[in-house]
Amino acid sequence: MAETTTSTTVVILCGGRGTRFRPLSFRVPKPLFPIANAPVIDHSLRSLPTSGVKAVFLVGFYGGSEYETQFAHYADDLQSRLNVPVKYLREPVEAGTAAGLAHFAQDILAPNSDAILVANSDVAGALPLVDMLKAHADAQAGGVELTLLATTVPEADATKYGCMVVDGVEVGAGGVGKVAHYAEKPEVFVSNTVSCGVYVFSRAGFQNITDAVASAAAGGDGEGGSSGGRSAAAKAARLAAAARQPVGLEVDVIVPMVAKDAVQALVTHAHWAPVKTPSAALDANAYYLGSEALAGKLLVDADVPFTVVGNVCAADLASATIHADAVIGPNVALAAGVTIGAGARVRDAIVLEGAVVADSAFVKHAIVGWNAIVGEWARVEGDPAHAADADMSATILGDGVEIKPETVVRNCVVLPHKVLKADMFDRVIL
Amino acid sequence: MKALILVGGFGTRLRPLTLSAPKPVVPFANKEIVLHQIEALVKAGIDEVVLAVNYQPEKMMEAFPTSPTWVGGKLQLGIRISTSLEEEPLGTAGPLKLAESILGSDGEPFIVLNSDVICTFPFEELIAFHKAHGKEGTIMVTKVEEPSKYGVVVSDGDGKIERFVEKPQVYVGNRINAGIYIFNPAILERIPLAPTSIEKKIFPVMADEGQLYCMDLPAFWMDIGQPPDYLKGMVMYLSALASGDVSGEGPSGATFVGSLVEGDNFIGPVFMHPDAVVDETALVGPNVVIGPGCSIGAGARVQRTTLLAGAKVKAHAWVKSSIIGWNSTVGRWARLQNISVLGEDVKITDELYINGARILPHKTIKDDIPTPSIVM
Repeated sequence: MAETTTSTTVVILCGGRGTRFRPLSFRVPKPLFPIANAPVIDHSLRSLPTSGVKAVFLVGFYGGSEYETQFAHYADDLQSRLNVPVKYLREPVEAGTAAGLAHFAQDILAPNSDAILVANSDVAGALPLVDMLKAHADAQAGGVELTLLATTVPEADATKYGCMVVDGVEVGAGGVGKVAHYAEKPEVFVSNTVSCGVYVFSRAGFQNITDAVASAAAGGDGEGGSSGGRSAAAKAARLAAAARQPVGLEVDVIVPMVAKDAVQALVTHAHWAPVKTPSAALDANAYYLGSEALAGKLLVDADVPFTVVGNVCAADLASATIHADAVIGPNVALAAGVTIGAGARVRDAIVLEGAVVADSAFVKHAIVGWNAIVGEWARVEGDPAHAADADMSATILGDGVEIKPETVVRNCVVLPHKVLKADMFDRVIL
Repeated sequence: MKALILVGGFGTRLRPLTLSAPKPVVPFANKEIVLHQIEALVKAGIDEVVLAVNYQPEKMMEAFPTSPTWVGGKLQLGIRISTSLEEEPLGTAGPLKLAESILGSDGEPFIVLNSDVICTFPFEELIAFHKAHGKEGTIMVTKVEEPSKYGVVVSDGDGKIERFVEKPQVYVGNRINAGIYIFNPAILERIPLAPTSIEKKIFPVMADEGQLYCMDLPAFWMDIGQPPDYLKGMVMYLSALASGDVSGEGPSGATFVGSLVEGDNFIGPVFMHPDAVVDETALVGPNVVIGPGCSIGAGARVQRTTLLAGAKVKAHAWVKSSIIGWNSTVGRWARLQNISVLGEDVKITDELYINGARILPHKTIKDDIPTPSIVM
């Protein structure tokens, strides 16, 4: 962490349904899912500057009282930890990321910060946010309204992301440069420099978002922008239109901004991976357990009665029941209230609150859901090397799932409250 | 009285075990397969056994001295054993002609059996039945659930065979040839010294002449010539041991190879050699055979499995429906299932999942084998 002279308002895009994160998102919205025993968002916020943050907004359209209560609790908790105002803003409709930001423009701009830092909630990595804020401040005089974070990915994966060409930064190198070209999820290869989903807008830059949304609402004539939509009726019409035609940050805002030469990129080599699926959450878990942020917070073999191998963290060891003959790790996060039996082996796993891994059971490359039970001698395992589908490379047990003793479950996603009595392979179990 | 055991060739169906030992000396319930047969023959008064082989008889004889029942190349059972080597495979009848000088030497009926059948071997009853009907041959028959897979034997109420029906499409009966016979020496006149099938060429003629009878084999029967059937046969044999239909002990002079064990960490039947060790926190059974020098570690779970001599199952491993070869090791938290067969001196490293793999001798396995396959 470092200081910066820039005042910043932080907006975390929390999204909505989290369908790709099922079955875990049935219980907890993805941004709040615990990775290395901390909510996904927490890890990104760790990279914020120590000073200058004036407010944090969590913007999403997770409906339903349970999700909203979880976000409200999290906002309160975060507010007390960061000592800045934190608020969950629920979008009325699912209308695209830009529409959500535009809808809450008044709230977001109210703190009157120099910079508005917008980040997707599901980025896992070491985010150079302070460097971005500084690079942005330095370039504002040159007409830069947006600084985005970019990284390099394997060519085969590039078209899944927003791809760009950055002036003055050679492919594979790091640094800051103007974005010369941007294509969102192109059909054919453009560049393997891709957007990380982290943006720093100046106040003027943020206006591009509201303009784009207003323009879409006005039928795309581009005239209705800043002058239109001040009345409540116009605003409602705009929203209704936006609901029909989602307005996204990338295509509707960034692409036009690149066209007017107002975007620069900071290309980083630091670790970056989006947490889209439960499998990706496991990878992020391993990454964060090995990161500097968790150094000193990991279990040490000599300090606990059971055997620890590699990086392991426990949320609340006092509430857990772990047999002295259990062997845990590497890359394991144990939530509160878990039970691990005699001779059980748990590695490369997230074990959620209240889950039970019984005697001599084996858990590898798996997420054991809340209060799930893995019976004696059961084997719950993901095997990336033999998975038919990358999303099934881990085994995911939803909450309350029970795996009967001696059963093997490999590369399966098991929806909540299923009881499995027979061996299962490469399946989603409804 | 003499006997001939049709051993045949390479025992390819029981690989990878038969890459380390000829099939007749592969252990079954801690005793060489052929010894189950020889001991039963000795109990019935047979004084000479011929092993009919068409491949490396010296290897067969070499293998015997490794057994505790064989000392200095001689079986401690007071009978003569010899091998009869076929220059070319002679089928199931030819070997009888080749051994004519022995089988026909005392004018008594002689017994013939396939080398990979396991049952209670009721030879005394067979001899009595044969002598009572006075005809040239008797074959033992066993009832099967799916006769359409086999050759069915059709007989009258006295056991006189009327005909054979190969793989019948409609039900004609459920008794099949169990591969255990007794013949008068007169049968040798019917057989040429050439490749000949006894089932196809000799038996039908004998049946037509009213010279062939059949006798029901009581209790269980299994051809254990391939791994799934080896394990099925093991389950049957252990049940028979538990119910007293067979005895685990050989005739006098044979070595003790184990007993059924009981206790909190055993679910019977489990047949264990006295020189094996099972941790008290392991759970073993049902249907497990544990050979000499084997060990099963803490919290391990083993069921429906044979461990050959020196095999080790380490702590918290889970093993089912598998054969663990001589001196092979299953690592901690490994899981073996679905007719996995480890050859001699195979190592499964810790935490692996092995599903239906046949692994050749002396391999160290370091990656999961999630689908049935062969590891060369």
